[in-house]
Amino acid sequence: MKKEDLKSPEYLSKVIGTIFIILSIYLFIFTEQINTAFASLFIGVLTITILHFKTVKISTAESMLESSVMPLNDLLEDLDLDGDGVYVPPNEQLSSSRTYIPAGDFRGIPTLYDEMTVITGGAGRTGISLIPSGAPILDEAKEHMESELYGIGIEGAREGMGILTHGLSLAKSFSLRREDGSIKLRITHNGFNDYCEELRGKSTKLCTRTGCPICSAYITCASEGLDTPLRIVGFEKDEKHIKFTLEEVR
Amino acid sequence: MMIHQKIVVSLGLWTAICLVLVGGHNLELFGILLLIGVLISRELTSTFTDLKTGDRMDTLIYIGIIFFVAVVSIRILDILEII
Repeated sequence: MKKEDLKSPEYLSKVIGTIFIILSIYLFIFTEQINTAFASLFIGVLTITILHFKTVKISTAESMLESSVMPLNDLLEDLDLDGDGVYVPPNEQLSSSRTYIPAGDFRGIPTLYDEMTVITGGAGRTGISLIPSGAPILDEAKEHMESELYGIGIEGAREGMGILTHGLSLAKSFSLRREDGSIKLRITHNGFNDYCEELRGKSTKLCTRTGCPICSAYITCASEGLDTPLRIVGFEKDEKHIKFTLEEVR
Repeated sequence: MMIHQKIVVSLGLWTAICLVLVGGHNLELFGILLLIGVLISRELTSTFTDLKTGDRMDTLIYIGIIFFVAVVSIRILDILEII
């Protein structure tokens, strides 16, 4: 076993838990501090049983996230698709959400189908339809939701985002609200700022076109919750926050 | 900090608070306070935790409930002067 492995949280938790259990045995046998011994046993068992997750290094996680989005972005660069992404929720023709990237100026969403990737819907309706890069992350969040996400409104979208934020630790916090006829989404970083900057260094268009898996999961969640296609019309990023302005496409 | 780490840290703090409040002798009260702590944290985090963590917390709760039933039974028998 490598020294690095021993520093990982799952091993550290077992070591700490074992120390607490040994301490509790000592307290039970050699002292009359029954409550202290019981407390030590409780913390030991808790540490071993609850902190059981296998973890990967943050750099590995970032590389995996990057590898899922950069080849796609390079392809879109080569195809010279300049339009901003539109997140389309499932509908009669679509069984899962899609990101539609128009070839030029956006003039409406063509009819999208599951099996179609390249869309040729006539003038102004040509582009590419892709499964959002954050869809698998959102699927994991949906497993924890008490109700279906589709069409349950802005509160339901916030619940889904709450799971992405607090359950999956993708961000520190978020804000989703309607303002001046558009949807404002603000995501506050939680240690992925370097990853975000690195991706933006490689392609500034990435954020408004498909988004990275993290932002994509949030926007897909908003789109499915509101049951409305959302088009990215504004993007800002500062040291702590990412701000999206989304337009509802009727 | 991940949600399961938050659970362990908060329950660890709760255990320390209970230990300070109850002291070193009243095991029944101490155990029941710990059970209340686990129940509250399970309820508050149920939406965010995965099934595996939830199942493990449930196991802790079942052990706590058995402990609670034992404490109540002993008290009843004590009041009825059976033991």
